[in-house]
Amino acid sequence: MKNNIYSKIKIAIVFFGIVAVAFFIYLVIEVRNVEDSNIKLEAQSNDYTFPSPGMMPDSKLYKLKVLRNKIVEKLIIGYVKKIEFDLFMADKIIYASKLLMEKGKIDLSKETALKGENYYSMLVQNYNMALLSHEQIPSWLDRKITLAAIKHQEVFKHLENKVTGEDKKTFQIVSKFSKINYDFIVGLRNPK
Amino acid sequence: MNELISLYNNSLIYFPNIFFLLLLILGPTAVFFLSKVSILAKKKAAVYIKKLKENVKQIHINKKSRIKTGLSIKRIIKNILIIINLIFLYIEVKTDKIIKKIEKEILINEK
Repeated sequence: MKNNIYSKIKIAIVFFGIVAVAFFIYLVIEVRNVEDSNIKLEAQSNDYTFPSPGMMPDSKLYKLKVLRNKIVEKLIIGYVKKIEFDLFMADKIIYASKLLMEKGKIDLSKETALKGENYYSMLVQNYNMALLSHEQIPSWLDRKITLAAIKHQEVFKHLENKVTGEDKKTFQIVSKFSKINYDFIVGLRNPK
Repeated sequence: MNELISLYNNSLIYFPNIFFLLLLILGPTAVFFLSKVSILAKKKAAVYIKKLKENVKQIHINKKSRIKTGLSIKRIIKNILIIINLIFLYIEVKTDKIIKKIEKEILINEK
């Protein structure tokens, strides 16, 4: 009886081990692809595409995603990688804001746009910290930050034109924040 | 090391769900393995301690028996000295005998 249980446990361990190794290999391959695409971005000119936002803020499980993102943010090592994460999140959330507007959920779109720009503000702080701790910021990331700021402002302009009144004002404020954030980064790049 | 940190960071940023899934699979498996290893280690340690205790007991008994049979270091040295003394006495007796023999032969020759 005892031996039977032990053999079952052994089979389970082997199975989980194989699954874990398979996931690990998949992870390594996919991460390599992402790294390659990031480096390729340097060679491209104005081609900038937003990543898929995945679960949208109107989903019931979105709070779980927010919690997961907060945990991920704490677990990342190094300011450069934190910048990359902030940029990735800002892109995702701002794109989600655009999609929500297309769905007709204006209030949620406004809230999401503010949250997206908040990630860009965090990026600026991490950029400053990276410079202070003498971490080398790769040129492709620097370029991506600039392109992202331009693209974000384009999206905010587009959203601004879709609404009127108070809603328009919110998007104008977000756009203004975006400009201030980008100017701050330019200031950090070229200190007087 | 840098490559590993980069892999860890990139998997966290771009594939967080897979990262956490991997952690969820590997975590309990690792805990299970560690518990198994600790049980095995405990068993081995118990056997080793038992052996050690037996050895200590044996040494204690040997010590006692050595005292009873008079095999302490003091006694051994004393015995060795006695043996050396006996050897010297034997040599003395032997040389005495040889000398006496030679004396007898000389006396016979003189006659």
